[in-house]
Amino acid sequence: MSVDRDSAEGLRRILRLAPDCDPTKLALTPEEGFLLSRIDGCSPWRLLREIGGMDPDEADLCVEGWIASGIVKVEGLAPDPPKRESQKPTAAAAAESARPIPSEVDETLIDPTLDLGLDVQRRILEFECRLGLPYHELLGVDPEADPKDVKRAYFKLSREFHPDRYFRRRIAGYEARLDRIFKRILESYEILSDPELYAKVASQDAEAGLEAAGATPAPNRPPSKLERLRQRMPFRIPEQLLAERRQKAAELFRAAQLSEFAGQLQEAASSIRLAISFDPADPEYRAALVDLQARVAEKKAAELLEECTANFTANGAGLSKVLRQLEEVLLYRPHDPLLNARAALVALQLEDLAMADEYARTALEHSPDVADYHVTMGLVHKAKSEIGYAKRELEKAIELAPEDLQARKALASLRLGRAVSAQEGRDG
Amino acid sequence: MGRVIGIDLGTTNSCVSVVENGQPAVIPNSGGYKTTPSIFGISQDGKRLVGHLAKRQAITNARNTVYAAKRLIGRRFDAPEVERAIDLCPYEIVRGPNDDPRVKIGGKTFTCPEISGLILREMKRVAEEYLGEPVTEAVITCPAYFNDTQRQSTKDAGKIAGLEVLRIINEPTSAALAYGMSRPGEEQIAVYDLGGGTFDISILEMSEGVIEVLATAGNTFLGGEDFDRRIVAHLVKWFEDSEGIDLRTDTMALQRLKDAAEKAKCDLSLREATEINLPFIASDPEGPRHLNYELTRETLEQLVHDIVQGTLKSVEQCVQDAGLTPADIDQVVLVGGQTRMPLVQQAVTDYFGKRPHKGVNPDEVVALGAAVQGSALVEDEQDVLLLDVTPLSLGISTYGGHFARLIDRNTTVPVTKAHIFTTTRDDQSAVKIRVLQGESDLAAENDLLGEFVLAGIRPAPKGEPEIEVSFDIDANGIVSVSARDLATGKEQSITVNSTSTLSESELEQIIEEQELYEVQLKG
Repeated sequence: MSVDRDSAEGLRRILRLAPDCDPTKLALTPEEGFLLSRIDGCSPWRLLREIGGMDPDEADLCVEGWIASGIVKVEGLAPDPPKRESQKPTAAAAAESARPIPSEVDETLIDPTLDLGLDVQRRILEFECRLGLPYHELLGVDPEADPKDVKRAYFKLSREFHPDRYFRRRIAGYEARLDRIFKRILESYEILSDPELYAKVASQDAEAGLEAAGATPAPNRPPSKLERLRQRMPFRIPEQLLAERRQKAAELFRAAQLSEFAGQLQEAASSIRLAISFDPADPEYRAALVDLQARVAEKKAAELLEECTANFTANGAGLSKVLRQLEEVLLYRPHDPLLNARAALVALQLEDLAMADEYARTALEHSPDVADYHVTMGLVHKAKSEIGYAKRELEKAIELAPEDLQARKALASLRLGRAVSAQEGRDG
Repeated sequence: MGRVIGIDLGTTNSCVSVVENGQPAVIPNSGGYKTTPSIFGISQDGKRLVGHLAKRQAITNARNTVYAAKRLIGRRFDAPEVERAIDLCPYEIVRGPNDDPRVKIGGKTFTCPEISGLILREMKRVAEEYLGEPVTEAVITCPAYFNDTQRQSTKDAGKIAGLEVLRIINEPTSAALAYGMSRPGEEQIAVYDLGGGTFDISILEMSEGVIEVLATAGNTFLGGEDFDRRIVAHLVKWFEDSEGIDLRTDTMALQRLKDAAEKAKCDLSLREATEINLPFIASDPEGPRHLNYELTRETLEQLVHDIVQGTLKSVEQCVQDAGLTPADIDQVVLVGGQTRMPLVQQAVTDYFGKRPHKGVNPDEVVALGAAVQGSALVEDEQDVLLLDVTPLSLGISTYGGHFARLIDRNTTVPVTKAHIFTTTRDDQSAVKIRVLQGESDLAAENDLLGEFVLAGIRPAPKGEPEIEVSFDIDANGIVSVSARDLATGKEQSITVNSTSTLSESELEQIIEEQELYEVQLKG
């Protein structure tokens, strides 16, 4: 598979967002937004084509457009976008083009003044170029390698690239490089040594690759990596051990029921969790755990609410603590309008307007006919200087509860505020 | 730059070591002892005493002698461990302004990091005296179960002692480092650590100097003191049966029994039988009564058999978590004074089917490992690399009060993990990211490390927005969390500042005070 040398080099270049660019000001589709969000100043162009969530051709178009309009800069090289017609973006090509180990290191990055040998610097830069390689290639092991060999390779590379090796030395940008390299090595090791995880990642990769190539999955596919791994390493647990474990699980479950009966919900939950770990296949245990967790959560919420109410009325605790506790209760009862309204008022006092708005809205959404919640919403709008909206909410509240003085008072103060600012406007 | 020392800051004793000529060695104090009691006291005439001197006055001046401050450090005043300490300790424990426990002795209130800092300062002094040069950097160990606040408070203690703490490492890991340095080949080792108050078991894998933690488990409420309590209960019952007097109501007698029980327990590690002799332990109208009892090893073993078996449950769990069987373990290293007990050694031998490693001293090995790690960090030629792990799971709270784990405990650091979350309401415009640490599935039961709001999410039906939450832990254990709305690219992030029980200004004030005190001493 031959790839134009220029474009291969272009694809290896690292892209960075222009410093003066504010991505929130750009009109982007969600897909473009996602692709742009992947441009982090360390991923090479090629990686963006793989992880940007777009068809590689489309991704190239976007990136080229951004480079042309100055939103994105190409690191260390004059903007020289690759020739599009020279690329044949299939999954196979992506893997193929990644195979030759890039040896040209950007020599300008090597800094003799650092507390790091020149050959070590070169080695780090070189290895950094390889981070886009498939996991086993990065670790330098056979795709079918034994877990022991994977671990050996991981240890060997760790000895070379773990950030602790250069602890507190003056190594400038190499610190971040080592951090990136080690994390990727660790990820490769974790995935390669967990057959299930590996299969999941491999199938995702395969899907992405096939989609990119616009092909449909082949009907008679060869055995997947997971299947091959399973064939190579049959895990069989002796029947007797299984029976013992099932029995143990049943015992634990009985103990859980007893604890539950005695009102010790936490203990019951932990016994059931243990039972599940002994016998993961029994659906009864899981159902019981879900049920129990819901009850524990409800109990916890009730306790928290009580504590929080006590704090609020005693006024001993700071408002931010009260808000935190309210938020905790809301995690368990997210739709409770009264709680949401209360949280909105506390957030309002703390001048956390985004959250106050959020809570006030939720309260109204679930009980649109309660005057108090409209008042709360109105107060939030007022705080955000959205006077028109505030007025509307307060009027709605008065309509719902004509004898409610609170809404009238708030509306009056709103009008007064308006009058004052109008007055000031006239004076000024 | 001076050398880095390793300090095992223990509940009952502390130990300091340094690497010399490539080998770690324990530094003896001026009295020739290799360990120093973790005790601080103020004498009747107002002098500050640390170590053996403080221990000497523990019985005569118990109200002004602080021991086992490690049980209190980094905890909240309302924690059950603190409540227990208040019941048991003769010194006064009061509530500090940050809801932390503080110790009131000699008319002055000390924070827990301050007490630990005074002990660390003593260890620093021991090392400086021995090396003949100033020491400014250290690696300190802590139990594997210590949470973020306890670790940060231990770091503060180091600062108060005038030490820059390069790392806090887990005690079992440290023991493995000391054992594993310069051992050729690949080995899986188990570290069985039964100390005074806690039990830890860790399984580690090492290959040519690289050490990886595979699993840890333990029980924070199980240790050598439970053995003592069993002996005391046995003695009390025996005395009641034979003399008809209940000693439980007499705190003075109980303290004497406790000391005697501990001594008898140690004796029985070497002998088959020992005599417990406590004259004038009680008195009634007929006159004074004495307690004289011969405790045999066999009786002791019957008394504590179930405790020892209990530790094996954790061992089994840990071996399973590591994906191994007992036969896969190549070496078993014993740590902590309680592992000198023959019954413990036998139980471990039976479980693993091999005798524990004999070459390490259970009281010193943890400090040695800390020195090895310190030297590995700063020296150019490194034989050892520790692939350290994060001690507790990290995640965020989600809908329904659940805790969504992003990074599991025992994950090797540095590491980055990300996950996509979404909204729970139509047109939701903001989400609050609450960063939590702990092992419970319920958000409210874990520790809150920090929180932030990601606002300005584009209106969309619930479940549609994609919010990527990413956790990052660097090699120094510093956690940062970011949340990004994938549709708009909007991002918010925080670096989680470890919380200590001391505020910045309090810490600075204490350090200043310490310096003044030093000057006074010298002047």
